[in-house]
Amino acid sequence: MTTIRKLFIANRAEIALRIVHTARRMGIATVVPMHNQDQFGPALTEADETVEIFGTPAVAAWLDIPGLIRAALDTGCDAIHPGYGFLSENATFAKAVELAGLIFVGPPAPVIELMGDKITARRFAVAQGMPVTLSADEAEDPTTFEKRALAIGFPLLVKGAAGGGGKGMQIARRVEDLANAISVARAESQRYFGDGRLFAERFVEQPRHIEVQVFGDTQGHVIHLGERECSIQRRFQKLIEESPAPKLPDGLRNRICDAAVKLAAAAKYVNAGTVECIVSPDGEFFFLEMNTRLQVEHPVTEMVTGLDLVELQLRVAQGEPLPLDQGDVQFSGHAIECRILAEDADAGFVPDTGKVLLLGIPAGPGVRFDSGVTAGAPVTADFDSMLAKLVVHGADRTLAISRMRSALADTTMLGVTINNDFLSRVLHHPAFARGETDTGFLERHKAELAPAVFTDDERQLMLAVAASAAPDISATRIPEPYASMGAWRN
Amino acid sequence: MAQLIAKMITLQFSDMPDQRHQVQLRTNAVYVNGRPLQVRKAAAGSFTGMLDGRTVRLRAVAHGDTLYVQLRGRGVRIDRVDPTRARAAATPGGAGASHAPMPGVVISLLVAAGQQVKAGDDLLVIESMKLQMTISASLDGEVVELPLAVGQTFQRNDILVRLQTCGDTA
Amino acid sequence: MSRIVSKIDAGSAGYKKNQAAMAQKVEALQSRVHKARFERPERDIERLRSQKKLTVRERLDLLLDPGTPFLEIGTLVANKAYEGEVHGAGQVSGIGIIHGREVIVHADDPSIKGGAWYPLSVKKIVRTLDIAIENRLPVIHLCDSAGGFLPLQSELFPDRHAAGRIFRNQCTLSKMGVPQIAVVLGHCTAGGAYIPALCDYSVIVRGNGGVFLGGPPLVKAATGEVVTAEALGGATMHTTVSGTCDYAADDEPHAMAMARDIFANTSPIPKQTIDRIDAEPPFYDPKELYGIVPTDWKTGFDMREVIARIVDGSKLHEYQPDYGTTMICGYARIWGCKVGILANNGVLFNDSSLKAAHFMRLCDRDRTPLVFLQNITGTWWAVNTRSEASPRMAPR
Repeated sequence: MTTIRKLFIANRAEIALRIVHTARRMGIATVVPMHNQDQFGPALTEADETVEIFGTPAVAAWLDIPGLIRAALDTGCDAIHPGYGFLSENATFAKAVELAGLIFVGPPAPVIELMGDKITARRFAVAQGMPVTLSADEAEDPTTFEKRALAIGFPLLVKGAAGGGGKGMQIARRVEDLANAISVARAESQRYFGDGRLFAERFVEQPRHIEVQVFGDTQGHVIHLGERECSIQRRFQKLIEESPAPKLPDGLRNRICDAAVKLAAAAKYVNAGTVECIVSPDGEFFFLEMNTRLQVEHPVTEMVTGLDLVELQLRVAQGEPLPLDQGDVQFSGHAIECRILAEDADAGFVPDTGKVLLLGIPAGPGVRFDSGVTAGAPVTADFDSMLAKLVVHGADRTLAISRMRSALADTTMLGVTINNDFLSRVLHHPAFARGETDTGFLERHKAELAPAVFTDDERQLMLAVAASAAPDISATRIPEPYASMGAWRN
Repeated sequence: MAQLIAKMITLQFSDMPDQRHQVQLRTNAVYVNGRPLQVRKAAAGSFTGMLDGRTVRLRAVAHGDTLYVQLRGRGVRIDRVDPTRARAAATPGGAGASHAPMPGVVISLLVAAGQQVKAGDDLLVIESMKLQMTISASLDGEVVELPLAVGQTFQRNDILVRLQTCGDTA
Repeated sequence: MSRIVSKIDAGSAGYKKNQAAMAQKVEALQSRVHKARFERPERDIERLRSQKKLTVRERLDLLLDPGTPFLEIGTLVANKAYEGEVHGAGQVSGIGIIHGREVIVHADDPSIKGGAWYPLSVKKIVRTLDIAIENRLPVIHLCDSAGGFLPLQSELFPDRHAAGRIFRNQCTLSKMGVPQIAVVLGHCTAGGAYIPALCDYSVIVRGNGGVFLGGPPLVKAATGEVVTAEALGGATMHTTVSGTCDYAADDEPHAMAMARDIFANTSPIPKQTIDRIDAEPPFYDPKELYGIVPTDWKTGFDMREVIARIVDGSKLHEYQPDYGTTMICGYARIWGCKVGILANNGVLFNDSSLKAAHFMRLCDRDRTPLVFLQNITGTWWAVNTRSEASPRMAPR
């Protein structure tokens, strides 16, 4: 067991802040790196130390393995938490961290490698008895890939084997679409992951994206902390996540969670991980992939279990055993998370840039706001468009939905277009209330989710407020007696 | 003794650029196109007003000539206009210019300056925040200028490519 | 100055009778005024809309400072003339405020017979410009006229104070250094074309505005050339080729904004300062005037009761209070401005005429404006002991 005294957080925005909070509570000092084009992160003022990292464009600094390790060593840290995204699932990074004598807060490099590659992960899952969808791996025989893909049947999902996070994925619904889907997916995968190898699998229509939070320690214990439903997605990216998954039969839930634990245990999984599955309308579930890191939507699990996952991560990284057994895990109430993104959801989810001129943070019982920005922060195309996570807990799903609606209306980030009103419309949709969530939700209800037209009265009021907020309006000096006479007419 | 009666401002909604609204701030009320409304400033950036007989909260902030207002969680952008400026200002670049729909980076250039293209031909590929887009020609003509290089970043509305129809004097 | 003490009993039967009768008369007047200002046939308004034009009142709302007074002149001109169809003679004139400065506006009303000029329209425009000259008021011309009403064209131009006087007045204003701005919102044909041409600045609206001595039909008849109104005398031609008009506007709100901006760049005219303090409402309610003035003009009443309900604080400094008592002379303030009041309070005698004449001389010396409250039933020719014969007094 090694106590972590000083933690280097190789990340930014809201996850860096969130890790700082837990570390501080545990008495661990924190160092958060800073890039000179990204100086407004809230973590920078709350961490104990900051250190400058370099790269052009800015994102390169967060992918610079030697640079980050050097910064961690220079500041006397004994561990690195990678957050999510960036290098969190990069086995080379994990190895380099260990080689530098630092603790990597995450699973060991070989496990990252195993699960990081879609194809090896799938094979491993199949070997553990995990159900998977019909698929074709290009690497097996590139010349027959297209033919084997065709044989799977339609609709078909073509994706980069080394990819994740929704990038490099294309759906082909008809034979004619396949060639184009293959070329686009290949180009995207090449660019994002440096690897254009492809993978094709049967696309389940109206699938539900259900994932299980698992946790392993160095003593071989593996538990699950329940499932999360992440079906409300656009462009394969999650917008709304919740726990527990609505309308999921207990039997099915248990089977998925148990299968996830079995898979993690077989992989000798250590630290936090998520096993992602798709669930068909008939109640069958299929392994999708395993993410060997903390996920964006982990707060919903924290809110229904009352556990601090980052704390568990740090304890496990220190070599401690998990402080609880499966039987100790209690679930209470319902939690929902909405990702607040800088995009114009009603104009085709087009990303927006600008500056957060006015920040309004929602508060209230059961409301948690993980902010990645401070007032005055510029929002650029350099980084991810997620500005904050709004997470709400309630005794039941109805209460959670109700609290989330209010919280969304109170969320203010003026100066850049955000998607809070769009999310609110989803939360108000009766199908969402009924729990009819699947990955086709947003597309299917697109027309109903269109924004209401502003009434004339609303527009006039907004104009009046806009004028009141405008500085230095040219004023007309009216002399007396006309000023006193006002709008007199004879 | 001059007394201030009215501060006047001309505004337009960014989603309705054809309509201009005259707003006057007078001591007793705010007049929008001649209609008086009561608006109260609650705190920095916070205001209250009345809608359908109920009090509503609004938030607003100014940035130069742009005003951002939020009502019931929905944000709008309102621009201040100079009423003496012509309404239909010619788009810089003219009809043959393609403007970036969002900020991003140039992925690849599929044509070169001087090349003849037809309406619908692919000209360049851009990408921003996980979204890739191909920009195609809006008319038949010649590629006059590709102002950006592969890997170069741009802002929303920046010109990506300039075309001219054959016979134009640009 | 001291406050007039009112002796009116608002509860008396006489008061109530007067009030009811006056209210009726006022209502009739206001209804007539409202009709002249606002009632227009639906199809005339629709024609304006289809041409993307605003009504003359909407134009004034955009031109003048919001929340400021507008003193309209000649609302009921041509009240019963021309079969009662040409309200205000198709013109709106008045004094208003732009950027805090007084201006006088002459506006054609295109919703009445296309804004055509009748003989009384010409008279009204001349009067408007006469007032501009007397008071050194900058002029804004909102031009939108179909031209002269041809059936009566023989009455439009000849005579010293007919249409030619409009242009002479414009030249006089120019000589005086008083700015004039024309906003060409419709056609200015023939005589009408001179108005923008004689102004210091002119704005013309694309598509609608046109300035030409002869329109397309005349051109075709004269030379055989076929040309559109826009090409012949529209905004683009006049602002880029002939230079007759100075600014091209895309639409009417744009044109009004430009006119305001142009006016803001003219220098204020040096004017006489008026002795003014903060205004104060009359102590007695002006509404009581209805009950004070009897409907039967033969019945007398004390004019001081009327003055008390007009002047600030109901305060009057009376001059020669014991002499010539059938004429009240005195200083008061209206909206804070010092004025000299002359008010009939009975029949005009020698002494009241003398007093009035002397008082007017005093006011003239101080440049104090005069306010006449007229209520004369006759002049009393009386023999008196003085050597001056009474007829010589009356003209005083």
